[in-house]
Amino acid sequence: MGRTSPPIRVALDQEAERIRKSLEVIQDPSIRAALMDILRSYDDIIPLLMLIPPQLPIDSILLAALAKLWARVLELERKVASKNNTA
Amino acid sequence: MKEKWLLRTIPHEDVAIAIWVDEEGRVSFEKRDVLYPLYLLSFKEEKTAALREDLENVEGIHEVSIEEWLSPPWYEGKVKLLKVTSKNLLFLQRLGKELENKGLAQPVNTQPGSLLLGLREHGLKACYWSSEKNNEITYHVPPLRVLQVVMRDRKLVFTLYALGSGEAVSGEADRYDYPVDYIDDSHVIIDYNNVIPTRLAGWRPVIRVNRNPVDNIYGLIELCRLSCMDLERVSRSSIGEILTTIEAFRAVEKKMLVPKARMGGDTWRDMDSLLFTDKGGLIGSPRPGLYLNVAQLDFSSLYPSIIATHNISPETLNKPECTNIHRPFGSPHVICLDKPGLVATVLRELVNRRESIKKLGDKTSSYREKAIKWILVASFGYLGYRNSRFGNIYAYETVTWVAREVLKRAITAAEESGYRVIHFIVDSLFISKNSEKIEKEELSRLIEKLSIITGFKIKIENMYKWLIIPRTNHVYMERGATNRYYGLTLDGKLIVKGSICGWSEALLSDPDKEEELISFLSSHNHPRKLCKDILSNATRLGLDIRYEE
Repeated sequence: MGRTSPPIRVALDQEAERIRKSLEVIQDPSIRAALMDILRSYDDIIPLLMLIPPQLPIDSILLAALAKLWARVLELERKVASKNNTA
Repeated sequence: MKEKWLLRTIPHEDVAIAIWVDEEGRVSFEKRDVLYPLYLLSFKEEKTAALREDLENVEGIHEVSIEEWLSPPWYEGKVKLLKVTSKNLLFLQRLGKELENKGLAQPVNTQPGSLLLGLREHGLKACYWSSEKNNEITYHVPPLRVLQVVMRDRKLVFTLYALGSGEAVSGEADRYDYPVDYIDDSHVIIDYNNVIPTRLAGWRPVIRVNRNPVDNIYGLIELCRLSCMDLERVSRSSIGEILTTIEAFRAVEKKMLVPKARMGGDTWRDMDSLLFTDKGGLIGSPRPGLYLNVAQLDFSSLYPSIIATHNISPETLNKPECTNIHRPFGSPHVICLDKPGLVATVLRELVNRRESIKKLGDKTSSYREKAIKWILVASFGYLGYRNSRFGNIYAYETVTWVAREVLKRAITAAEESGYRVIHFIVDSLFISKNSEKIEKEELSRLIEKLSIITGFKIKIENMYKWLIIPRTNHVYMERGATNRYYGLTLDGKLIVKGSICGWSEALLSDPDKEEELISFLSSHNHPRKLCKDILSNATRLGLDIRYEE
């Protein structure tokens, strides 16, 4: 997207930075920490976004966060299954 | 008759003075009659014949003829051009301007231009031997005496040497105390600081490498032979200009009109199409850290090879009437295969020439090969450059599209073969196999597989004992730098990429200590010992080590 709009990495960084700067308005520290965690997650899917660029940067941040959560759920399921098997 | 090598040709009024150097380094001057051509495109085609009649009566013009040329952007239709020849180059230039100002006709084929076209037509090709017809891969150069002048501490430091012999004479003089004897004794002057006045140089080409990244005489001679420009002009031209001249010569050979400015710009497009197609190469997001036994694989001249293989050229992209269409890797733009594309043809020849020169393996051929590499490096960017005569944004987008697909296939294939892809940058892949040493035979098998799958040549760029991908200075994200890494190769060479620039983002806190750190890193083969030593020498090396919970 170099010619007409910023590269995807820059666009995402700008969006994440915009959100991060306003995080203080959230009172609950646990929600704030969770949001911060979400903002850290998009780096892993940048190569994918280079091939299939999103319309809005926030879509990609949410997709990345969802993928990370999904991976955690799968990991937990695997651990529960192995614990049940040993029990 | 003795063989002579053309150093340069200087047009002077109605004659051209050719300056030759023979096998022994002796200089001779020859007066030659050269008819320079000027191509004119009448603003009203029906008035071309009338304009021809008028021009035939103008004094100083040798001949006026009407020729049919292929017209841009698709080079399908034909257009009538007036070819005016004259012995006087200056007169032709003035005539072209006057006709344009009067609104009668505009000069075309201004690149390569009347001078180069005229000289080439009369066999006066700079840096060629008098008997040479084609630009062969192997050629020899006469014992040119080269005077190199550089300013150091307000003094002129000069060295005179002859090509092909190890002998050199050096000296030093005050700023305005020009080494006249040395200048008189030389054939070529390399003036690094623009200090030698033109009047002193006389007929000698003065090489001033301000715009051209090639500063070696053998590299410049290679560029001369490719573009038909002389040493002085080639050294002062940008790489893009040299590339365009090569392309323009090829266009003229095929009677394809070279436009004054770029034809066919970008059309209106929606945001979706821009987001989807207007992108660069594929770059990974590596995890920062230390990796052991890493192989770096690199596609050889990927972008020029893509252009050459897929016939990418401005006149072949999205051509309206085409019978044989090609859509490489599902590209959004269509390539026409009815005729070989101009840019694709030129680049194919350059890629092949570079490969052949590389195989020669001697020192001069490495300079020549690097000079061609510069053209290849610039060739892709020039496709997208707005002032490029043979540029087209769709061609540019198709190249990056194919490159991304090629890299994607290579990544998948490498992972299917059991390798872990640590990082990838446009045309490079960093792979490892559980940090174990990768055998060469195994890697050769992978390379063969990747070359077949992608259709492009891939080679081993480096084999690292260890490779460090540093962290970026991102505030809250553990992100690896995409274009910065350090690594020690199996043969003990330390490769450092991107560390000198942007030091503020790097591991270092003190840029003055960087060289010391690099030599420190290269003295270690094992990362565990290296880490321990880094920690104990952190202060001395000016490192800012941050500990995280």
